[in-house]
Order: sequence, then structure tokens, then C-alpha cells
Amino acid sequence: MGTSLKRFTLKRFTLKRFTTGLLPVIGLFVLMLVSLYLISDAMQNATRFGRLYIWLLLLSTVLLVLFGVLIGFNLWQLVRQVLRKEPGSRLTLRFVWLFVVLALLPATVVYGFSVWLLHRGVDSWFDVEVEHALEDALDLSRASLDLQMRQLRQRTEPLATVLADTPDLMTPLVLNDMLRVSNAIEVSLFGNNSRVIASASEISNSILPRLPGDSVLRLVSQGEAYVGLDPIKNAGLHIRLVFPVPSSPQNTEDRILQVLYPVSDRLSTLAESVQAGFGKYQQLVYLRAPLKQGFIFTLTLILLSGVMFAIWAAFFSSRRLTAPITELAEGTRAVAAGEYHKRLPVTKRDDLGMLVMSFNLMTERLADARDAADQSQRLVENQRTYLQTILNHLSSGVLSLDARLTLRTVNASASQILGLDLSRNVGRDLASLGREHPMLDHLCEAFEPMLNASHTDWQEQVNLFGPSGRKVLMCRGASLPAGEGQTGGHVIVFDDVTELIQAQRNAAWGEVARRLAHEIKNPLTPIQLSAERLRNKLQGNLPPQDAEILERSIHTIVQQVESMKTMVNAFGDYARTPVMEIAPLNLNTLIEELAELYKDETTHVRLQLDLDTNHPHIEADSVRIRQVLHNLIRNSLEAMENTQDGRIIISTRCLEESGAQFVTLNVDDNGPGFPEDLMDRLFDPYITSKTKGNGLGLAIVKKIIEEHGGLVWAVNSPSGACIRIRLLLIDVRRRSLAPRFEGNTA
Amino acid sequence: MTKLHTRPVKTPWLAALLMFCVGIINLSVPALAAGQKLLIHNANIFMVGGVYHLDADVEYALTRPLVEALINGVGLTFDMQIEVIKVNEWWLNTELATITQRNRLAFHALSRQFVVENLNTNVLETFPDLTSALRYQGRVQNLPILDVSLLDEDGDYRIRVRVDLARDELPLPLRARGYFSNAWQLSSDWRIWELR
Repeated sequence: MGTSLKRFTLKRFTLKRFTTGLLPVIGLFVLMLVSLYLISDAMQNATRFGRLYIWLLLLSTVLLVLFGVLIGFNLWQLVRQVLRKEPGSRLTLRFVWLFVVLALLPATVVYGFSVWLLHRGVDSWFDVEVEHALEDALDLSRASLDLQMRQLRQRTEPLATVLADTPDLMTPLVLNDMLRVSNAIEVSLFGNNSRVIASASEISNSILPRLPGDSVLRLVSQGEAYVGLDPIKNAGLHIRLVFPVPSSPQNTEDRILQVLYPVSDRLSTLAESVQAGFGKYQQLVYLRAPLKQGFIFTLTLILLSGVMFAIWAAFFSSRRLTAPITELAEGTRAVAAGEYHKRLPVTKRDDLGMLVMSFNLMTERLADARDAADQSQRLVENQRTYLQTILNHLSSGVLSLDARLTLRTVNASASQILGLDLSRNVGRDLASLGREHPMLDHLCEAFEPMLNASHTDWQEQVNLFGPSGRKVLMCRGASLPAGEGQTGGHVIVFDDVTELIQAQRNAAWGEVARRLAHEIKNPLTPIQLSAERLRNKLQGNLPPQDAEILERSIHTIVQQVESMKTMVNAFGDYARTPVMEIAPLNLNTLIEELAELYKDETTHVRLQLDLDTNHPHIEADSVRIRQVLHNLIRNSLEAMENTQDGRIIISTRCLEESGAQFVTLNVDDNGPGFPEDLMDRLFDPYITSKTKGNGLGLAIVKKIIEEHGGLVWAVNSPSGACIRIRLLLIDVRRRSLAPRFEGNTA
Repeated sequence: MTKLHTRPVKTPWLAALLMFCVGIINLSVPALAAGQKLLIHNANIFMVGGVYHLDADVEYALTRPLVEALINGVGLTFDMQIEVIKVNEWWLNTELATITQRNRLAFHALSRQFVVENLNTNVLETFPDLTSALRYQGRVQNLPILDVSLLDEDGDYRIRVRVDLARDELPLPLRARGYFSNAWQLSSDWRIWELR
């Protein structure tokens, strides 16, 4: 397989060398020229190469066909290259076309004129007057010889009559006499079937007489005489006279007398000269048309060989001319494809060579620039990877936005904190993301004033309620530099500080409780004891009126001390972080149980339930949630002490937002509502508008809800106050612990 | 001029190639292959005194262009080729001898005679008409061919005779026609005798 492939490749290579190589074609052309030269020489003088004429014609034709095949092959190759739109092929075609036209035009003109001149030249060899003169000369010669022949006939014819009565035995003597008398060179007598009866000859080496031809014998046998001119090889012209010999009683056989007379040397020489000239001229006239055809054929062969060589040379030159351009085009394509290390061979030192050198210099510089750019890009990539690694391992969430607030970079912590896979949304603007994810919308709403105000650095704490419940994010933002290739934008770093704030708050309130216990509760016992001791000491020693005053004062002191103790204990309960006993809890059931307790207590207020039929299940400490409900119901009841036809509506709704499933617990009343000036601090401890109570009810509600990962807020409705609580549903809470998001940086 | 070759003639490769080329051309150019037929009548090979002799009458029928050329002073040369071949049973036949009898037919304008010249013997005969000249030229009598002593007794031999117009002897301008024009093709089939 490999060998055959190698052989095939070798054959193709050899064929290509033959069809496009210079030396084989030059050799072919030289062979063609030699052949044409020999043909021309044979046309001039057939003695040297006349025998080879036909073979030379065949050879030239075969060579021309070879040239034709070569040109056809080149043309086919070129057409194929043009159809494939190979670089340089169109230019080669144009060059070939130009060269062929340039070669053909003068060649055609020269050929046309050559043919015309050839016709004229050959025709000029012939002249009517010369032809007539030669014919006249021939006729003159014939007339002269005819005269001589007539004279000889008149002189010789009687000899036949003499022989009529001569017996055969005597004829030799008679013939010798006739030879001597008549100046003939041969006198012969023939019998039937050309039998020689007798002969007398002047020619010494002549053994047999020259027999007349059949036609002569036929003529004579009919009784006619024959007089003719016979050219005899190496003996000049002779006049042959043949007569029938009259029969006689002695000679009944048909006999023929033949007498040969020589033509005089001078006349013979002149006549032969005329014959030779006339014959040559006549032959030349006859050969005029074939001669012209031969010349034109040879001329056509020469022209065709020249034209074909010119066409082949056009192909060769065009390829040579366009080769550097083709290489340049291929090199340019290679550079366009990114092959900056492409180098072209510099074979010439001409203008195209300079161009090739410039191309090589350009590609070298491009390659250097590309290498430098690659190196820079690798450096940037490394830095980017380094930065990405840092970002992905940061516990803080990092977002970067461009000037149009399109998300550019996000790390894994950001997705994890927000509970959204933001890495899939890189490249999208924040507004559209906010429409899909309401939690992100809340975040955007918090950011937007800072982003639009173009603050260089800002910090904001944002409360969100997402799939994993309430989140407090501490956000810090900074503007990114813009201009000189940098698009500007913002970077936002945020931390989930929910637990931190809770812990800080717990620690703070614990500290307050401890201080209160230490600073307030501790002195209370001595105060109470001192007051009671004072009462014991002075009771009975004072007049009744003073005793009554003392008793009332001591009672007040003890009562207030008890009250302060109760207050400090209550605050201690608030500040203490209890151990949560989390368990699945049906919120509806808990509400219904609690409503049953308040059924009798709420005589002036109606307690209505509007519970979701889906029975929201949450994971919570039922005791503490029960306390929340107690605090809220009591709060409402106390607020509506003076309200006629009071109404408390407790409702639950299972909702889903941003992929988070939660339950909303609403406690609405138709009381006077929350004072507007307290709305901001409503859930702070000791903030109350009521005369009774310790001011910790709503603070405890908020604390418990936040400990359950929930969110609570208060609003005033047209009918009264509303408390809104959100708690995660049980399935969601479990699920919220599962996903972990990987960060992505665009 | 009788040529007698007794050396076996091997066909050289170049000649074979040329013959192949001519064969191809013959196939592609019908004019080269087909031509006017000359007929050999009354041909007979006989032995007299240990020498094989040939008698034959060749019927020359000239085409109009040939007659026209003859009348216009173009001499026509005819070859009678006689080949003696040794027949080999297991190998290519060997050409023992080739005898060529060559006659030249011309027209003598001054005397209005047709001249037949035997180029082997230089004997020249004149005739007042073409028919007589052709008849004379076609008559072959007692032409010695081969001495029987040159042949092996147990060998098989073949003698064959053919007559054709010698195209190479035509004037150069007519030579191309001689090869490519049907009217200028004159040849006979081979007439073959087996000698055993």
C-alpha cells in the first residue's frame, strides 16, 4: 500500500515535472525545431532526408500533439485552480491570456503574409510565355524529327517490297546490303510470333535485335506501317520504322521489317535537352499545388510549434511571475488565520523579493507582538485566576457591576448569601434580575440611591427575607475607575451579619440584664427589708394617723420594690437566650388552641381566625411561638380596651417568593393603631404608648421571631394596627440548608 | 539488381515501435490502409537446374491521379518484393532473403512514348501507349529467385511475392499524398508459396 502510494506520488511528481518543468519542454521544442529543420531541408533537397520525410512529418505531428496535451493539461490545471479560487490563479489566467494574445496576434499576421508570399513566390516561378516557349520548342523538335522520319519512311518503305520475294536463306545478305545502303544501325526481319528471321546491326555488342512492342506489332499486322521515335538508354534517340513485308508465293508467312535509324548527335542532344527541360517544367507545373501545400503544411507546423511553445511559455512565465504573489497571498491568509510565524522563502532580490522580505519582517513583528500579547494575557489570566480564587474563598459576597448596572462578577459567597445562583446571570442587568428575584429587587432598591448618587464609597445595612429566612446584610460599595479602556462601574461587598447582630444584641441585652440585676435588683432587697423593719419598729409607737401614713408608705415601697423586681426579672427573661426546642409545628393548630383560651376573656373583642387551609407547618419552639401569639393578642386587647365592637383577626397564608416558601402570620385589629412617632422604634424594649405593661411585649415578639429566622414588621391599616410575621415553611427550611453555590467571575 | 540476404533479420525494438505507431495510424487513417489493388495472375514458382524461378503476370491498373502524374512527367516506380522465409515451428519466422525487382514507368513527351526501365537490369523499353507499357512491365518470366542449395533439406520455407508502388520514390511534394491519399495507394496482396 505504502509502496504503491509512493509510486503514485512519484508518478505524479514526474508528470508534474514533465508538464511544468522547463528542461523537458525545452528538449521537446528543440526536437521539434530539429524535425522541422530536417523537413525544410528535405523540401529543398530530397536526396538527404527525403527518405525520412514522412517520418519527420509524423514525428512533428506527434510532438505537436504532445505540446497540445501539455497545454491542455496546464489549461485544465489553471481552470481548476480558478474554480477553486486558489490565490494567484486569476492573475495567472490574466497573464496567460495576455501573453497568448501578444504571441498569437503577430504570429497570425506573419503566418498570413507568409502564406500569401509563398503563393505569390511559387506562382512567380511559372510563366505562361516560358511554358509556351517550351511547348513550342518541343513541337519544333517534333517537327524536325517528323520531317526526318517522313524522309526515312519514304526511303525505307521500298525495302520491304524487296524482301517480299527474298527467300529466308537470302535475307541476311539482303539485310546487310540494306544496312550498308540505308545508314541504319539495325535492320531486322521477324516472322510469326516475333521470330527473328534475320538481322543486321551496326552495334557490335547487340546480339538480339530490339523487338517492337505489342501495339506496334498489332498495328503492323493490320497492314499499317509504324514510324516512331525511340529513346534508347545511353544511345540517344532513334527512329524506328516497322513495315509489313508483302506476302509472296515463296513467303506466305507474315513477316515484318524493322529498321532503326540513329538521330544525329546534335539533333539528338538538342531534342533531349528540350525534352528534359520541358519534362522538368511540366513536372514542376504539375507539382505546383502539392508543393504549395507542402510548404504551407511545413509553415503551419513551424507556426503551430512556435505558438504552442509561446502558449506553454505563457503558462510557465505566468506561474513564475505569480508564484511570489501566490505565496504572498497564501502567507497573508495564514497570517489572517493566526499563523504569525509564517515565513516565505526569498528566492529573488527583485521588487517582489523585497515585498516578500517586508512580509517576513511584518509577520516577525506580528509574531513578537502576538507573543507579548499572549504573555500579557497569560499574566492577566493568572491575576484573574488569583483574584477569582481569593473571591471564591471570601466569606463576603462580592458583586461587580458595570456603569449600566450589568452584573459582571459574582463570587460563590454572594450566591450563597443571597440564595440565588447569580453566576448564571452574569451579563444581565440588575433591574431585570430584580424582576425575577424579588429579594434581589429589595437589595437593588437599597443600593440604587448610592449607585445613582455616584458615591465613591458607601455602606448600608439591608434587611432581606429570602429562601433561608431573614437576612441582615452589611453592604459596602465603591465606584470603579472609568476611562482609558476601563468601563467603570461599582463593586459591592456584603456580609451576612444576621447572626452577628443577633449575637451582639443578645450580648448587649444580657449585659444590661446583668447590670440591672446587679445595680437595681441587689439594692431592692435591703430597701424592702429596711422598709419592713422600719414598719415593725415603728408600728405601735406612732399615733394612728402617722402609723397609717407609715403603713401606706411602707406598702408603697414594698409594692414598688416588688414591681421593680418583677420588671428586672422580666427584662432578664427577655435578655436571656433560652435553649430553643425546635420541633415541627402546625401553626394553625397552635393559633386555634390559643384562640380557644381567649374565647371567654375577650368579651368586648371578637377574635376571628382566617387560617390557610394548607396547614402551614413550621419548625419552631412551640412555647416561644405561643408566647409571641400571647403577646400580640394581649397587645391588641390592651390597645382596644376603650374600643367598642373590637375585632382581632388572626390570619395565615402560605406564600412563595423568590423560590422561598413561607407562611405569613397577620394579626390585625381595629384599634387606634400604632402612634406614627413610635413606628420606627416600635419593637425596641420599653417603647409603648400604653399606661400598663412593661414595654417588652413587641420587643420579645421580634426577638423570638428573629431567633426563628423570621421577619416581623408593623403597619397601620385604615382600620387599625397590623403586625406581619413571616416564617419559613418546614420543607423550605430544610431545603435552604442544602444548596451551596459556586461563585463565578465574568 | 538482385539483393540476396542470407543473414536472419531480427526486428529491432525501435522498428517495432515505429511499426506500432504506423499500425495505430493505419487504424486511425483509413486512407493509409486501403488502396487500389494490384492483381497478380498466373503466378508460378518452378525449379529449373536447382534454381527456383518465378513466372507471373501483374495487372497494373493505374488510378486517374497516377496517370495524370505520369503524363505530367512524374516517373512511377513499382517494386516487386520477393521474400524467402524460413518457417520456424516454435519461434518467429526468419527472413532468409529479399529480392526486389524495381521498374520505373515514365512518359517521354518528345516521342510521346511510355518508357519502362528495369532498374535491376537497366533495360529500357518504349511503348506508344500506356497499356502496352503496363503489360510489358507486368510480365515476369523465368525470374530466378533462389538456389535450392541455400535451403536446408528438412526445413519448411515460404516464398511470398507482392507488388506495390514505391511511394518513397515519388517527388517529395507528392510523397505525403502517396501515404495519405487513397488514390495514390497501389499494392497487391502477398502471394504465398510453401516449399516443403
